[in-house]
Amino acid sequence: MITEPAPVDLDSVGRAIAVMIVATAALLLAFLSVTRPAARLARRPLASALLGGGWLALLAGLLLGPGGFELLRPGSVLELRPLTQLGLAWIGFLVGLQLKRSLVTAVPPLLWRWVLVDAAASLLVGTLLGGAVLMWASGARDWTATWPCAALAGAATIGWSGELRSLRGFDASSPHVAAMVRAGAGLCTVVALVMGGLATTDLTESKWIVATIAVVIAAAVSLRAALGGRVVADGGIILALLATLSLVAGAAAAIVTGPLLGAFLLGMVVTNMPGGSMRRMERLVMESEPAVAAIFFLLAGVLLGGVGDWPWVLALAMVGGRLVLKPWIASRVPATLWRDAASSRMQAAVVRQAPIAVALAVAAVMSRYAETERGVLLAVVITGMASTVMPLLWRGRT
Amino acid sequence: MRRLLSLVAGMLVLLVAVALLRTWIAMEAGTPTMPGPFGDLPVAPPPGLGTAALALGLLLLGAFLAGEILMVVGLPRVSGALLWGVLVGPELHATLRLPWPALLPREELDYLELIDALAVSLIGLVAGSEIRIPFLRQAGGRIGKLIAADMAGVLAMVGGGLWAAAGMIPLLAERTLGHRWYLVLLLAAMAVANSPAVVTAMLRETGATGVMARTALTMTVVKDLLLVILISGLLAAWSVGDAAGGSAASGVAWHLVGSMGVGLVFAAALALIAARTRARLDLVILLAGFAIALAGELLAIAPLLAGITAGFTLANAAPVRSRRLFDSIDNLLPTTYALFFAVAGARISIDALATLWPVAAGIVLLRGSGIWMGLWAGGRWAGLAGPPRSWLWTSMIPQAGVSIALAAQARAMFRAEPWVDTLHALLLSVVAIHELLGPPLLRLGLLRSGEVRR
Repeated sequence: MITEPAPVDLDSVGRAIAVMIVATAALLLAFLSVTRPAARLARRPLASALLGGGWLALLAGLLLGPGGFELLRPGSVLELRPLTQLGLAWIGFLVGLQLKRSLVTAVPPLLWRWVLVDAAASLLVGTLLGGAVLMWASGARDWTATWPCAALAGAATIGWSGELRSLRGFDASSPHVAAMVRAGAGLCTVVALVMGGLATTDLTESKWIVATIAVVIAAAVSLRAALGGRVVADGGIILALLATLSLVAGAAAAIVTGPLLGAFLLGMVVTNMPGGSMRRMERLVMESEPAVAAIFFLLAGVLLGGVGDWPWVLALAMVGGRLVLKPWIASRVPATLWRDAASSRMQAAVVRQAPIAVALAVAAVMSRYAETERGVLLAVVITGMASTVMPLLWRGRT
Repeated sequence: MRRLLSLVAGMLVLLVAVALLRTWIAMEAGTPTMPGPFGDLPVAPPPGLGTAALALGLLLLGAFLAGEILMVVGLPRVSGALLWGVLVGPELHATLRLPWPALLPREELDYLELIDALAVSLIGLVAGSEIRIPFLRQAGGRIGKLIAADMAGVLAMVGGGLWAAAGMIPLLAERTLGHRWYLVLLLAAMAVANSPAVVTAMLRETGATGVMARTALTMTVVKDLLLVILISGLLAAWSVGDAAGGSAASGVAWHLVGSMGVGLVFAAALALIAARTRARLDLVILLAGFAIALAGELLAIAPLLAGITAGFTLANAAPVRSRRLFDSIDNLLPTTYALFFAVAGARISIDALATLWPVAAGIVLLRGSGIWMGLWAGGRWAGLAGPPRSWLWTSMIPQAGVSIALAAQARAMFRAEPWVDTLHALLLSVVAIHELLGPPLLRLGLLRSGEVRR
């Protein structure tokens, strides 16, 4: 559409030039990243962990945000709320797709036990630590105002990162263990998302849950009507998927819950629906995972900052909790898994925070842009970065 | 039949679900927000922003289902998206004064503007990529003659008709002779505009290729560029001599040169990316469209012109490298079209149409006759033969985004005049009729010309 010619705002031109400079720098970096020295650097464990974990995107967000060139402000990210809600719904949907009935029934009991014990213990410890730090920092004595963010810290503590490429050398002699760690990470992501979703929902009002389920059913029926019974081109599938996820995300915003939970339920329904179009839809969503994750780390970078010092204390507590709790559970619950010294080194992998924690914290900030939620996001980001580096130090010890 | 029923059922479920949600939102409005442990209250989003994703979902999913329903009955998908937009849009709700909350509140629609601009940028990229220099070399003379004949036909018919009936149209009857001439000329010039977006969408939907398809697309794009210059010049002429005249002229110059400059920069960047990466390019194209839309907001340039320039430059300067880029747009186009046309439908001013329809219908008839006669004569002059000559006129009927933007430009220029709202409403009413009539007519024309491939 041709916009109305308006007097050119010099401030806008300055910002646009700055955007162009950053875009050029990004292009240059992208170009340099495919050179031979860059490939050699990426083979180093630390570089691989930081590149693979989305931390580079977070750094880009920090540079673009108020802490850097201030090209993007938290306010401008909030202006893009419809798109960020859609992105969060996309993540929820992606996680929901993992709950295919045939896959869930194939999970060995040992892994179920490990995941459930880890989820319960992490939720409890994370919530208690989060609640204690928040009550100490705010001086509040009222648990009702504290518990949603404390539960969010608890949900962020659940599980671990499934990325093992940066831990080459840990799993060379134990592919079975690596597979179990990866599968456990996937299942824990599901539990973390459900718990995080429930933490941002007012559970005293059952009507919100009913409304969420009703919208998911309506979305699934419409999706089925749009794609069922015939071959649809990829473009049509993307349209139907974006439309349904927007609907679920918008409905979640309207009934004051996060978009993750509704989209997760929709993903669970879709993955168990028959039809070739549904399978192609799954493939398209899976392929988009790295890009969507990078966008959310970038958003997290922009939204950081401007809160007090208490998030650092919370992060310290969360990192300490992970260091003590995770290897302890891993060494006892699936004890038979670690038959030799080589495989037992894989226990270090479970210290690293799951990437879904950042999405959960971003979702909380997007649905309630307030100091407490932003503080929890900062704590989650610090915990994620610190816990990513820790297994590499462990490698040094073993 | 089973598929039709399933699509209708899906649409009804969607309507009922969103209607219930809207009622619920209205009931819950004003519920106090709990402060956090620090006594902190969340920053309240402006009205409509929080739930704009619901509007996006309603428009996209409904447009998809409505498009599929119309396809089953032999009508174009874009008409389905337009009609869906009209049905759920705030204008119809306001006109009928319905007692329940609007399915698509106006403030939510406003927040989709940037996403709409993204759709326009992508449409521009596709439209530009379809115009090839060898075709222009081979058919440039013919196209020039056809454009001249089409413009002459429309200007003569609409201008002549309005001048003859000026006494019966209050907007013209109450003006001085000079102003009446000016307004007749402006309305006639506005009638020349048509829609590259509709033509591109219909060519993609039908897979049409051939003389008519290529001529129609090239004509609409070239005419678009000429019209932006012509109408912007006309608008600037209104305030010749005062400071506003100078600023309008510089605005026009910036609008054209800036848009093309930004388009060239994006073409260069996209060519570099296409050459250097093996990764999937859907996201690259999406980000490029988004960046063009943002540049439009920041620099007051036209995303459509910038997109057309980028698409044209890429397709002609780096045809091999850019093929992968344009192939990857295919996956994004259904979403782009559904959003663009559903938003256009939701913005159709039903109130203005209900009041001004006799004058608007008159202009539509005059315009249609002018196009038909102009292209009949122009086709003969240019040596166009066979079905393309008989049916090319159908591709010049649709109007959409460009015309709406030009109407907005006119409204801004005449904002001090007491008749500005009537003029704007009349222009939008004419566009609304063409938005609804255009796509089915063009589909018919393409079918009859024998160029449809799917």
